[in-house]
Amino acid sequence: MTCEKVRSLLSAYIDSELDYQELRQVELHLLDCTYCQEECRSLRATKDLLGMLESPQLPREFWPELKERINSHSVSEFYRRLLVRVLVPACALLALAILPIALSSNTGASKGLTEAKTDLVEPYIREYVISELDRPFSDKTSLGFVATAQAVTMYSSDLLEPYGHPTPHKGVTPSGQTGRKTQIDAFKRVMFLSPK
Amino acid sequence: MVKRLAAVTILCLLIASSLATLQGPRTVFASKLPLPERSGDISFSDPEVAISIIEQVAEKSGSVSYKATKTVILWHPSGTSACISNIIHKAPNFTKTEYLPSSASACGFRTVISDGKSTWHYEPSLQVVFHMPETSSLPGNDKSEGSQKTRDMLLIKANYKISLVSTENLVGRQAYVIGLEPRYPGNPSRRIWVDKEYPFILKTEQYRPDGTMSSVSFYNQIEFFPELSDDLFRLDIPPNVAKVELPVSGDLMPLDRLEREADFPIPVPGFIPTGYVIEGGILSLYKTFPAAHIRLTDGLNTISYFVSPGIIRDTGVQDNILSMSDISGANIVKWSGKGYDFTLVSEVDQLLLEKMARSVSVAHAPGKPPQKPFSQYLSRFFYQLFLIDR
Repeated sequence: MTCEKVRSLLSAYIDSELDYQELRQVELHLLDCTYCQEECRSLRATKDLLGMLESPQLPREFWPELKERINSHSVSEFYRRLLVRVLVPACALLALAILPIALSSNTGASKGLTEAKTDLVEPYIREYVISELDRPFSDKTSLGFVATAQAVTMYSSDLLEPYGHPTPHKGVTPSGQTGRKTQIDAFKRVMFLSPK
Repeated sequence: MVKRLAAVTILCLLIASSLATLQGPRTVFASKLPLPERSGDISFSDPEVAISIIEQVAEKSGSVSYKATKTVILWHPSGTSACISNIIHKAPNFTKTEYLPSSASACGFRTVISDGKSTWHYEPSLQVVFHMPETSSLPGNDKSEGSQKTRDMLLIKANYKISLVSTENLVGRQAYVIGLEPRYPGNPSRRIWVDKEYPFILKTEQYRPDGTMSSVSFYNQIEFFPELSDDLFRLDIPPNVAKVELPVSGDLMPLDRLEREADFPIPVPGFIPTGYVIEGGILSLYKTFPAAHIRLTDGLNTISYFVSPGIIRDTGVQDNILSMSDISGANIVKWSGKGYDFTLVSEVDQLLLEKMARSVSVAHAPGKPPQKPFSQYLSRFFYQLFLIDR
């Protein structure tokens, strides 16, 4: 996915409006692109600030007057400029300010929960399932079924890329490599948001 | 007459002893199970009987070699998944499972082989083989499997009412039916069928905290201690199949060491469901999911708590808590706040997980970048807004 495409989706990404595939692609792109990271951070901060602004109170006669002026064909250049440069942005500002408040009444963390949002959870589920294998009386066949299905999903979604450079091989022999050092190094490498 | 009787008796004794010899290891396990064969002699009210049975299962089930066909059915919010598999296990470490294609499982033929050191998963439909070293084979891993089993058994005895429910015939064998009911609400319960002769689970039924069944697995046919050649556990795959190394979880470590290795402060929940203990943490790693994984257990079940430095979500504001379910039967709770992404995965009741989620307080973000001045954001916003007309 290109930077241009990602930037066009950032607003929807922040508002959690992307579908599963788009969300994956945007997050994967953000991991590698510092420019888009900064853009995303900035956009999110702007939206947060807007969310904190109080809604301006419009006078009761605002809308009738606006309608009358729009309907009249004798709008002067001054009023047209006023409409375009002030009233439209003001309305947009008002809408942006009201929107988060309206949404928070349904989905705010303090109020309740959003059901069944699909998100990137396969690796976590797989880790959990592998942990469950350690338990006595765990059913290894069903856990193995779930874990292998998760591995297939992740592989199909390119989530295994750092480990899964698919290379032709002649045969399988158990190896002693653990990837432990690589694991820690890579772990620190991707923590781009938490410099110490 | 006396001579004939003596001869018949001697012959019978010889046949009986030779049969016992031929049966070999069976008698080893059968003699260690504590219960008499006749159900009339069983004390159903004595919990120690049931505890004794499951202790032997926990300790010795891996020592039973077998060849079997098994069915697994999982019920989840999006439907039902089922699969049939052929399994061979040669004690103590070799296991081969072939998951057979079925419309109910939405998967093709799949082979998984474990030799105790590594697990190989061959997916013919993708032409790929996944490889993962087993945690216990990692160098420097001082985790003692025996001590973990002992701890889990102690926890199970403390957190579950264990009872011998009945005896049943199953897949041509006699089995004890053992119930494990949680003492604390919000936990799944389980019912297992243990073979009378060997310490081996023939069937498992798992129930959600609300009492509905979440999964059942049972053997359609099983043969104990068959002749199994080592060659059966060799994975023969065609050339030019891609090999993918799956990330390894590493060893469980104390939380202070986990924090040092993760290199960021790890907020822990203030609330932990009754009966659960933190058994340690591991570094979990996938490209997009660097996370500290803290494992909690009540002996029978696991709660996995993942903390990850957030991707772009460094606003300091607590996001929505999102709850969902997975085909594994696990509940998943996700949320973000102050530069972290959090995930809880468990079969424990969703309300308990959400309570855990709300009890996590973040003192400060993991290396939060400096905030830009308010005026800078505001001027940028109005600048962008007024570009509409240009």
